[in-house]
Amino acid sequence: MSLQYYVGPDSSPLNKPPLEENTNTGFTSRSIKLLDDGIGYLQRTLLGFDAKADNSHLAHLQPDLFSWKEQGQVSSGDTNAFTCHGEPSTEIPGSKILFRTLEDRVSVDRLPVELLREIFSYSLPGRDWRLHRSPPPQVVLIQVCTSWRSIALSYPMLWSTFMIFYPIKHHTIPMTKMWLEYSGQHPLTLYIGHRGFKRDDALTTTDIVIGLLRPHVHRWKAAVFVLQSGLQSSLLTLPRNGFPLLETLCFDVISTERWKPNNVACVEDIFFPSSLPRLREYTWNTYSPSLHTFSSIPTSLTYLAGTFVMDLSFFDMLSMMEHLHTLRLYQYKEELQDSARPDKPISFFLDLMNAPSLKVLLIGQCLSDEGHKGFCPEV
Amino acid sequence: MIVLKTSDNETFTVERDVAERSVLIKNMLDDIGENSEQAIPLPNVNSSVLKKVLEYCEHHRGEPLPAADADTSQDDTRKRTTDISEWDQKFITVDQEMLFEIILAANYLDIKSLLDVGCKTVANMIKGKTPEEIRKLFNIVNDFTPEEEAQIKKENEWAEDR
Repeated sequence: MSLQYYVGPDSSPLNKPPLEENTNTGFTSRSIKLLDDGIGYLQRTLLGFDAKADNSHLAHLQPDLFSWKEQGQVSSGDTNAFTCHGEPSTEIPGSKILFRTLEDRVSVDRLPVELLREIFSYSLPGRDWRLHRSPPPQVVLIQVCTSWRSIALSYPMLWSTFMIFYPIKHHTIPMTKMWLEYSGQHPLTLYIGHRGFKRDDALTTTDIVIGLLRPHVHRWKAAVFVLQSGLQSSLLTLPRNGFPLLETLCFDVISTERWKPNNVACVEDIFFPSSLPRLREYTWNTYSPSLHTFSSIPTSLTYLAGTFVMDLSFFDMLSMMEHLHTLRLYQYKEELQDSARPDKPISFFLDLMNAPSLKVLLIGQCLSDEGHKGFCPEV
Repeated sequence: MIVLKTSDNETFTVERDVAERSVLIKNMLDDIGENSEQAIPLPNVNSSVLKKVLEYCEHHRGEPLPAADADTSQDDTRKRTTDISEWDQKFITVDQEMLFEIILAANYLDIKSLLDVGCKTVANMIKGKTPEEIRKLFNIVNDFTPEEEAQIKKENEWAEDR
């Protein structure tokens, strides 16, 4: 650091006249020492560090030491300034002038880890993101620098959401493996969707992905399946009673291929063997009515959508769901309705239903893939 | 009225409900009592940043504050959007240095909604960019060794294969 100009406060050693005036050319050792002391004084009082200390490096200064800094007021050529390494000097209130270093500027590097994590989590993709169009943001973040890489890889939440819209083998499987590796024990959110996608390997890839996720069902917090096929065989291999964290469950079948009753029974048996303790949002749209008796579905549901056998016991059960805020019921097409046709109009049952928290009620016909926008709640 | 004193010794007199958008200030006021005329020191915020923060608090005064025990489980899901209201967007259209100063101040002062606006803004700046573009945007040094960079590229080439 070099001191170029200075006008300091009265108490500064630099403003005290030397005890012995040097009448010769050049400084005496005493005047040099005084100048040196003056620089030291300035460093200690204004900059908050001691150049004589072993660990005194300007680059290591905490910017907070510049508690009086006033940003953006750069003066140049001011004799009341001192500068360092050619950096522009900065004027602060009270006509004290200081320099600023690049390290002093507030940049993204200054953000603490928890804030960078917050920013990273906001950069995660939404439902408009498609893996076959752009790489996952997480993979971009870990390639920026070693610090970002370390922060991102050590943040399990960042790797806990599987947004698999169009399963493509060479993208989806490495992604699933990587996400499982870095998500630690964090609860998982799965979205596997086939909507609008016609690739031969989509169904096979979906089965492989579900197979990879199977050992982690105890971490599933939300599972949304928007399936093109009648039924993914991998779903039938999932364990019973293995979803202690599951809050959101959605089966939304977008093909016109009905699930066979025995498949419906199998899947329901997996997911509703003895109720899911944390289930809040449940969607069942398989072009086949749910066979499940509602007596074992948790009454803590807040969202219910799909195709059900709508009889008196169903509406009785709904009346017990005091937190239910959204109810979307879909009737079958006439030709499918024989087994599930209620013996009274739905309005009759709705009149009997007590739903103190209900805010959204929708009753309609099942629509085709092209028509409906999806039954699942936003994940 | 509440008096706030910044790191550069400037004082701001603001109405209590505006100042109390900051949980930190609210807690301090609760501690020092109703009638104290003591200036509240904010050693981590300078006057230019506090001025911006107070502009935000003034605009959003009266809006419900997030409950201290608010359910954060939604944070893990895609329910978190990066949508920012029109006014907030205009407010946060500042240079990068001020943006980071606002984020740091919002974090220090515990103003969750402002922190969200700041973080979402930075996230939106990142979205859709390549690592190189992000480095350029934020003046970040690529400190990977060539070997590390090659290894990382190889590990992630599946993501680049379109």
